[in-house]
Amino acid sequence: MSNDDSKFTPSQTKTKLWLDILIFIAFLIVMEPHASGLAIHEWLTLSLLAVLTIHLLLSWDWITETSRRFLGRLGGQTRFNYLLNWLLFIDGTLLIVSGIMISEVAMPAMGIQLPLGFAWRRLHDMSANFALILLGVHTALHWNWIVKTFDKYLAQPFLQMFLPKQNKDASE
Amino acid sequence: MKILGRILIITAVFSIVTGLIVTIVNASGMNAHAIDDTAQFRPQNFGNGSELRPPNLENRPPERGERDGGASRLVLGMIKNVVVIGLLVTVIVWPKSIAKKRKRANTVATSNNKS
Repeated sequence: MSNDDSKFTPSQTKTKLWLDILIFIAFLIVMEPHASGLAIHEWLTLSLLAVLTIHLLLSWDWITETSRRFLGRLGGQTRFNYLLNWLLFIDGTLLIVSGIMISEVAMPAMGIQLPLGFAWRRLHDMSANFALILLGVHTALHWNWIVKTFDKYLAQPFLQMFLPKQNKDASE
Repeated sequence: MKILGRILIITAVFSIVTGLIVTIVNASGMNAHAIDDTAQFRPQNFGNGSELRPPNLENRPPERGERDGGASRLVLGMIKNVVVIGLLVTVIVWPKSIAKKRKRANTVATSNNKS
């Protein structure tokens, strides 16, 4: 969650990057239930819970530090970022809870029958649209970290796979 | 042990937020039309909105849970959502980067003037 990676080892940062890419792709798939099918939509969302927990665990120090300093001295952007993350957490919870309430595949497969509630369906749609906006803002606030880490751990190693070969070819 | 404790905290916060949401939805009466019956007493397709639609209507929008379009629709939908996120990122990041560049240019100009 923080742009400051000084506390993380390169392998932790790399894990964070891959995890975020995984969450992003999974989010894009679950946002299209008509195309992916309801079974993929529901089971993928439920399995995302574990990945999102790891995402939170990797940012634990930032969460606790900012929570402690929230009422004291804190930069404007960090404060906004903190509030946005809470909003994202609450909206994500609403999305999952309303999804469970209207589940037609995962919950019946686990033997759980819930009463039909039309309000939950509307809440599910609304929270999904809101989550897309919140994710956009969340991505924007971490854009520098994304670009820097993507370049360092994905783009550069990928280019290095071809560059030494090119240099070798040029010297021959 | 530390990680387990943190997972428990996350789960506890998730449970509290869930409890609050369910309480608010039930207390506000938003879910007053909830139908508490079991599947065997329900007419076929009841509750998924299909009973409200004419049965053989062509070009109708897909029902919830009904697969439509497959891979091409999935890709198009994903692109649409990426565009939405991309627009938000551009709107937020671009003005910030312009302001940063301007600030840097002003600092350089000031230091040049001093020297």
